[in-house]
Amino acid sequence: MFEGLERVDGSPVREDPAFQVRAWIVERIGWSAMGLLVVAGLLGAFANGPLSWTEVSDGTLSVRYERILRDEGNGELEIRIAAIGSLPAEVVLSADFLASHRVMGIEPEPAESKGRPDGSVAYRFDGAGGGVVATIDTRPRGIGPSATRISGPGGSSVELHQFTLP
Amino acid sequence: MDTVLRAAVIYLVLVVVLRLAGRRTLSETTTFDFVLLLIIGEATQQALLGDDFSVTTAVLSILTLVACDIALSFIKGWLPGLARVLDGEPTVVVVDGKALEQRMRWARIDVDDVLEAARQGHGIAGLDRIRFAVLERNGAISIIPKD
Repeated sequence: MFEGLERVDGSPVREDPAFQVRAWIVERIGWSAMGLLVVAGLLGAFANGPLSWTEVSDGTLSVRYERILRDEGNGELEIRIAAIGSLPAEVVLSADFLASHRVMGIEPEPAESKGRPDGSVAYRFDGAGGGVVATIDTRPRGIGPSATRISGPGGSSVELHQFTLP
Repeated sequence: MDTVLRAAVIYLVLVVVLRLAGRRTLSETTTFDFVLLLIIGEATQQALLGDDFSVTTAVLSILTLVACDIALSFIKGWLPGLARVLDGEPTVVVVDGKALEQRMRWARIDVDDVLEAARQGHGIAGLDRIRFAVLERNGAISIIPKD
């Protein structure tokens, strides 16, 4: 396999064929690792892809979100609130969620937003009696894991587990 | 703190990736390689600075990168083994006009690369007039002609 890597007689440079072969092998292992990282990136292992997206639901409130985020990158929550009688279509972002994410925008625009003493913020959407689908654009505030909670009407609540890459 | 850490991590990543890419990758700058270098520079700049365009951040990033480079040169001086791993070793690829094809394949060069270096450096047109051709640590090919 390594034919031609014997020491060269009268070589003008100091050679170590065994080291050179090891270096070439490590190089090729490195290329394979880089290829795997690119494929993992395509699949969303580092955010923005099918491996990253997940959904949690408790029946009334469903949140589709990205498990993996990037520092300074954009995140997105797709929130579905099922209609429960005449209860207002409301979503509450907990204080721990707001501590780890900046809210950059909400679509559709909530009819009302209200801060609460515990640091959480409640957003009420028009459409009481009917379901609501809203998208919240976020940006992580720091790197590392986070476990946060989002609540909906009628005591519904889901927990989000995310990891923000540097 | 963030700026210094970012710069140090980027420096480390570039050292590893460019080492793994091999000697030949950026040694002969073709038009495409030039564009590739620009894109790497642009991606690196984004990761280093983000959307912080302050002079302080720029100065801190530059200082960190230069400090990393100086530190690495000292470390390589203290640990010759590491220097060998990071810089590689020169490899003889032609002996007495005979191409060592196995070595060339592993090093991703071919006879045309050697002949090009021979023409440019010594005005030599054939392998038979080359005593040694050496793939240097920086990816260049040195030619030692026959007397």
